[in-house]
Amino acid sequence: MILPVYAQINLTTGKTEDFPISEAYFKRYIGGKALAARLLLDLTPAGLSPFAPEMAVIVNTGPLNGTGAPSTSRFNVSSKNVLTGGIASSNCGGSFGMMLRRAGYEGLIITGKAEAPVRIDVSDGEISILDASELWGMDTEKVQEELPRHMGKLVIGPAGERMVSFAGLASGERMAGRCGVGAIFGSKNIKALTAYGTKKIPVANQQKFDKYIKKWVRFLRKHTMTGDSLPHYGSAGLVNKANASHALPTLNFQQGHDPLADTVSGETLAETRLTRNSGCVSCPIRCERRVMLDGKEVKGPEYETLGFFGPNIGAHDIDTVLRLNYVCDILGLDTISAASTIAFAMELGEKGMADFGLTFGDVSNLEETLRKIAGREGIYSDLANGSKWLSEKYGGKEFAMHSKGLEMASYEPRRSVGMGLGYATSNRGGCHLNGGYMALLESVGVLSIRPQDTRAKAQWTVFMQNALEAISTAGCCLFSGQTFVPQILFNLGPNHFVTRFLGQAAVLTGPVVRLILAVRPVMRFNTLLLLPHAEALRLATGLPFYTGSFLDLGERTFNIERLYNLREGLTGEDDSLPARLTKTPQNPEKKNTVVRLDKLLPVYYRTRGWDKSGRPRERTLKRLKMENEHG
Amino acid sequence: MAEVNIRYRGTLAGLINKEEERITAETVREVLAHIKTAYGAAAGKTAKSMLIVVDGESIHLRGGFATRLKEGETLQFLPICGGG
Repeated sequence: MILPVYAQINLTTGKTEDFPISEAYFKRYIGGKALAARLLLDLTPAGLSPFAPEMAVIVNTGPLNGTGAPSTSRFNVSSKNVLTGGIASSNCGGSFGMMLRRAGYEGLIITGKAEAPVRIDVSDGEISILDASELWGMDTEKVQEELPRHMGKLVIGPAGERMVSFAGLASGERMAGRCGVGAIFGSKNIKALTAYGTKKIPVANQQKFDKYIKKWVRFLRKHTMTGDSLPHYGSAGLVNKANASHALPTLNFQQGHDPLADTVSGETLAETRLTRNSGCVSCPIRCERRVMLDGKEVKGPEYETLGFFGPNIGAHDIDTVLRLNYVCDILGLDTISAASTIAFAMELGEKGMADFGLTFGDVSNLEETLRKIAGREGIYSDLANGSKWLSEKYGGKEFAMHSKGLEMASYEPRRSVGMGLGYATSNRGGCHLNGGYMALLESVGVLSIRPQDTRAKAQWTVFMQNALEAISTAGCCLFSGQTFVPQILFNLGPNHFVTRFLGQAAVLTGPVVRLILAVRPVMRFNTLLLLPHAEALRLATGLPFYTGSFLDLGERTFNIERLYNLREGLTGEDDSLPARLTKTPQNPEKKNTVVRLDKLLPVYYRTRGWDKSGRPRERTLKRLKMENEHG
Repeated sequence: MAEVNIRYRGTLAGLINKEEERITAETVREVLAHIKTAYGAAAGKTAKSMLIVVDGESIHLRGGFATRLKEGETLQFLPICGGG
C-alpha cells in the first residue's frame, strides 16, 4: 500500500519534517477534507483562535488528484472557520493539487507564524521558506505574475493580508473562497505557497485504471449535464432556472423571483459576453466561462456571483457583475460572502439601522466598497467581519442570511426546503455543497421533488451530503457527480409526465433511501451510473472501494467534521436558519413557503444516527470505525 | 388569443435557426403546436423537453401546458442546466 506523505511546516521555528499518515487513517479517511479534519482534531487543542499561531492550516489532496482521472484537479484547504468557529474546508480547482503531489507531498500541515511575509515553496521533495516581503501588498493576479510561471500557486490578496473574515486563496484564476482560509494564511504571514515537481503520481493498478478513466470520460461527454449543459453555460445557466421556480435570492432573500433576472443569466452571458469555455487540468467538462474585461480575457462569474451581484442586490447589469467578480478575485475575497454581506448592509440601510452608503439597485460605489472592505478601511472594517458579526452589532439577525456564520449560497430555500435543511446542517455553515445540494433535485434541475414538501427530504439530504463529501474527499469535482441523474430524464425533459410523476412520487421514498443507507455494506458493486468515482478510487488506491464503502467514506467525512464542530462548542442549536426563512412565507398567500426545520431536523438526526441534540451516537461512530481512534 | 413573444434558446435556437418571434396563441400547448407545424417534429419534441417559462416563471407554477397566455407576455424555451 502506498501511504500518503504529508509535511509539517512550523513557521515560528522554520522547521519542516515529514509527517507520516498511518495505514489506519489512510484506509478510513483517505485524504482531502476528511483526513484534514481528523488531523485538526489530533493536532490542535480545542478553543484556539483561527488566528492563533498554534492553529494549523492543512492544504491537501485526495488520492485521485493528478492521476488523470476526469475532473480530479480539486485540492482542499482545512482549518478553523473564521466566520463560524467550526470547521473550515475550502476547495479549489486548477493545477496546484497535481503540482503538490508531483512535488512529493499529498498534504502540508502548516502551523506557527512567520516573523515577516513568506512564500513556502515545495519543489521536488524540497521545502523552503522564502522571504516574500516584496510580494506583500500585491493583488492575487500581480503576485502570481511575479512567481515562476511553471509552478502551481496558492496566494492571498490584500483581503487575506488584512485578515478579512471571508478572504480566500487564489490559485490561477480559481479560488478556495469560503470560510476565511485566506485570512488564516494572512495571520501566519504566508503570502504564497508554490509547488512544482516531476514525480509520477502512483496508481495501484495503472492498466485497469487507464482503461476505466477512458470509459468514464466517454460517459461524461455523453451525459447532457456534463457533456452539453455545463460546457455551454457553466453554473451560470442556473440563474434562469432558479428564477423560474422562485428559488433565486432577490433583494437579500426577501423574494425568490426577479422579473429582470435574465439580464444576468447564463444564457445572456453565453450569447453576449462569452469568448470561449475553458477548464481545469484533466477535466473534460470545461465549465469555465471566459469573458473580456477592459480588453483582457478573464474568468467569468459563476452562478452564485451572478445571482448575488445581480438580483440579490437589486442590480441587473451583467458588465457590473463581470467587473465585481474580477475585483473580488484579485482582492482575494469570497464573492458569496462579500456580496451577501453587502446585500445585508443594503437592507440595514433601507431599514435605517446602519448607513454604509449602500442601496439596493445602486452599483456605482460597489467596486470602491469592495476595495475598502479588503483594506478594512473605516466603517467598512465592520463589513469585513461578515453578516453574522454585523447583525450582532447593528441588529437584523432575522434577515442576516447565514447559517452558523457562513453566508448562504444563491438558492432561496423557501422554494427548496431540502436545501434549507442542508444549509442548516452543513458543517462549514451555509453552504449548498456541504449541505447536499438538494436544490438540484427540488428546484433547478430536470427533476423537481415537490420543493415545499418536507417528506423524504431529510433522508435524501443525508444521502446527498454523504455522496458529495465522498466525491470531494477523493479529490474530484462535484460536477462529475451530476451524472447520477439518469440521462433518460433529460431525454424526456422536465415536462414529461414520467419526470413529473417521479418528482411527485419521490416524497414517498424516505424509507427506501433509509434502506439504501442501511444496506451499504452489501453494496459491493461499482457502476458508472451512480458514483463512478468509487471504481476509480478502488483502482487508484488498491483499497476495496465499492458504492457502499464509498458512501461510508462520505458519511465518515461528514461525521468527523461534525465532531470538530462539537469540540469547538457548536451544538444542535447552531443547525439553524435566519427567521426570514423559517417564519416568514416567501409568498404570503402560501403559508408553506417557509423552511420547516422543526419538522426536518428530528428526522435528519435520526437518519444520521445522531441523538436529539445532534451529537453522533456511540453506535454510529462504532459502525463507521471512528470510536476511540488513534493514528 | 394573445400576441406573445417567443424566445428560443440553447439547442432549439440552433435547430430552427431563429432566436425570437411574435405569435398569437392562447396557451403554451398552442405555442408547442405552432413550433411543430412551422419547424418540424424534431423541433417540437425538443421544445417540449426544455424548461418553459412565461415571464421568467416556470409553467409548472402556472398551469403546465394549459397555461393561458396574456397579451405581451414572453415565453422562453431554456436548456436544462446544472452546476452548484
